[in-house]
Amino acid sequence: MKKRMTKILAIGLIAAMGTMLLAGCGNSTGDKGSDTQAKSSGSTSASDVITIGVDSDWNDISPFGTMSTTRTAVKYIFYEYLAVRKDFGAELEDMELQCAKEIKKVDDLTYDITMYDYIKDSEGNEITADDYAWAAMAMKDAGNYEKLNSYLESVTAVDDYTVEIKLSDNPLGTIEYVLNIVPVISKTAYEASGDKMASKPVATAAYKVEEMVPGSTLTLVKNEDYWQTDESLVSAVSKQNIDKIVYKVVTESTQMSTALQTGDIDMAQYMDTTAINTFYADGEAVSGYQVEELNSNLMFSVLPNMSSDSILSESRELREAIFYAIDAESCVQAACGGYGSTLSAMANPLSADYDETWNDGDYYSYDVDKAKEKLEKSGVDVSGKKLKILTMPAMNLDKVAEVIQAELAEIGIDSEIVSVEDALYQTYKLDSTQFDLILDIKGTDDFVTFPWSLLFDNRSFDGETANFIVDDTLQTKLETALSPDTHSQETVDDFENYLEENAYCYGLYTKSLYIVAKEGKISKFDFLQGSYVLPNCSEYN
Amino acid sequence: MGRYILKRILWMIPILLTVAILVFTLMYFVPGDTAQIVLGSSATPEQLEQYREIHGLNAPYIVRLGSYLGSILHGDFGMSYIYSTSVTADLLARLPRTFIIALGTVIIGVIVGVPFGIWAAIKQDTIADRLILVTSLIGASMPSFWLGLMLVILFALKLHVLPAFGIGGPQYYILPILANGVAGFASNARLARSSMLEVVRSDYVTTARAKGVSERKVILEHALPNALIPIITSAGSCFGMMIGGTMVIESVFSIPGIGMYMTSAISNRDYNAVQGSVIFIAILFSLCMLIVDLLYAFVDPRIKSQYEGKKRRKKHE
Repeated sequence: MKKRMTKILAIGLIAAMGTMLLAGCGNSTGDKGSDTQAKSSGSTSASDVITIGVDSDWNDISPFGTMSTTRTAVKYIFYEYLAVRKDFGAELEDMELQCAKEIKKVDDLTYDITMYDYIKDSEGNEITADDYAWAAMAMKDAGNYEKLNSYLESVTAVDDYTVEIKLSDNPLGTIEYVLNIVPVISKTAYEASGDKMASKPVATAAYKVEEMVPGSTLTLVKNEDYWQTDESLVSAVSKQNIDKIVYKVVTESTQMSTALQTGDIDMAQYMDTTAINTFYADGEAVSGYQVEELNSNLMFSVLPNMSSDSILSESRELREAIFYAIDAESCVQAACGGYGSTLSAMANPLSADYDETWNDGDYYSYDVDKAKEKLEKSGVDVSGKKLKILTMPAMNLDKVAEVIQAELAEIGIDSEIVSVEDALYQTYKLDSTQFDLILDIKGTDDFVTFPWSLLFDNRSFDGETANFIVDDTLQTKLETALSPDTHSQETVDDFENYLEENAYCYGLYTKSLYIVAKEGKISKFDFLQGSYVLPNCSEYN
Repeated sequence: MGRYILKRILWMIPILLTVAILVFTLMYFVPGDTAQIVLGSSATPEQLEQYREIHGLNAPYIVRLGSYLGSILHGDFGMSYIYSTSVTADLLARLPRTFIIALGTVIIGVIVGVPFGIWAAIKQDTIADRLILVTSLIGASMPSFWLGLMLVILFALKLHVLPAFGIGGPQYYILPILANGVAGFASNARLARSSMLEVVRSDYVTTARAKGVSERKVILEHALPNALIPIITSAGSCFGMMIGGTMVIESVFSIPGIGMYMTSAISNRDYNAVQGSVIFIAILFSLCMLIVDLLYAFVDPRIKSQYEGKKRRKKHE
């Protein structure tokens, strides 16, 4: 009896260990040719449903909540706007009208917008100009949107279906931004929701929220009572090409890859570069998958501290020495395993007004000898001084800082990395005593001037820029590039050249984004602003 | 016994109060302006001031602490700055998922680990003992996130029998519980083995054997109850800690539990959510430890007799 029990125990343990080993032997790259149609028991896929894996939580889906990539990717599907910018840099006349019937420019700072008089949300609440005026000011007061804070003066209802939007200033793209960012919702529905529509917004768009489990899933279904019944007036963002859209949060990159292979999701938005090799090799999708390579709208850069607290303000040559010592290619490697592009200016190539000729210039090409020469020419004695590089762990910025630290050491500049979590980073970057160099991330909204306005407009920073530059010429050139009346290739070039001449910043790289889907489900992807898949407008087999 | 329970419950009050004050104070003195973090770098001084006013951030430390403690007493941990929802409601919504994982993990640890440990102790120095020791060593050495991914590859990707991530039916919890439970199984097996070995060598067990009591009875009735005491303590605190958030497992399997909520709150400097989560966890942990202590009192006759003895002594006086 005892011997039998020992045997059973031994067999059981061996089987358990074997299971572990078997699991350990499997690797994701070895499954490229596996049965991609097989589903696990958790699958929700069906022909009229698209299941999309997203790599982060949308926090909340309330109309005035904080901005995030995942939130932006979903909110245009269940909220409707006066007009939407489907493509980057679309000007007013190229925007997709949704709730706006007509947009009239009264003067440089004032616009009158006539709304449709039959807009209703999914609960049947009629929406008027009063609702929109309230929503715009409530969104501004929520304070989560920098451009609204800076430039939206007021929104008032002129009559039941006309609103007047007044701007305090009108840099390029501002009115387009306002029209594109303030959702058209019913005040009554918002107040009745109890949680500021954080978990179940009342939709105005072609889809409505069926269920939202924070941190897990978001299920959208076709809004059968969509207010825009005239098909000729339905915007290109408001199509209803599929019955149900299910978003699933999959934060772990290996899990995202597995979920796609098992059929738990039909599409990954976005596949992390650490897992992309399974689906994408030599610039082509692996058999059984569709891959779309997109440029991220994020731009990563290095900004020197130009206040008197840092020695970097003392000499342009010193800043140039630093920029020439940094190998942007190595930074791309450190940040995203090489899946990205180095920049040729302080600008993201996605922007509508990006000047292609910048790609031909010599933009701080990595050159250690030149860097040493510049350092010597600067006359600044850096011995015994330690530059502080402010960074954060998000998006591998701390790894980029390590690369920069090593490269600065090559030209004899000693540095230390100040890596802090995101919240503290936001505080430290406003304090000139906390850093000499800061690694910065800025989103590109439409034009190259957008991140410039966020970084260098001294009206937002009490007379100086985000990196403490006090330079009237810079401000004048920026305002010229920003103004819709004077914005042109020349004025944009002029500002970018001025930045470069003074070594005020160094645009490092952008990341590539990968959308991976199982072959056979989607025949054509449709995108919003070049980065976000519109599953309701994509075409299906 | 009633006095013992009452005493333990009363002890929870100063503990929770201290935790609340400590957490609030730590968050208060952490560098970083909440208004600036929430509103961004381009917010005007007026907007920042308005935000601070609305959220009571301008009030002195002691006023804010008092107001916070008052809210906690009403079960209100405030509103999340990021989610704009009630922290209490968020935590309660996430608790069942974390609870299932924690409970499953402890069950695996106790139901599987303890019998194996006891068996290893009874069969000391045999092949069975060595196999259990080696297996538990492997189990204790494997990081749960790695094991989780291996299980996903096997059961979701290769065998297609279980979902890889997310929440839904009970099948969604099998892999997370297994991944988390192996370490619990290993530590409980090792603890049960050493505890049992210590007990079976004690005099009273030798006496029982000398009196001709059957080996089965010796183990189950004489040795096991005493061997269980350290195991209950360990399993209880393990359960309490896991209720506080199985952060790694929740992240690997995309389960929106308390762990993921707290991770997100910390990275977003969502003060109310962080404070609320820590205090909520402290309350749950204290409750777990209370239950453990009560179980302990039932299992350990010395505790029972200590209180009954006091009662008797008082009567005599």
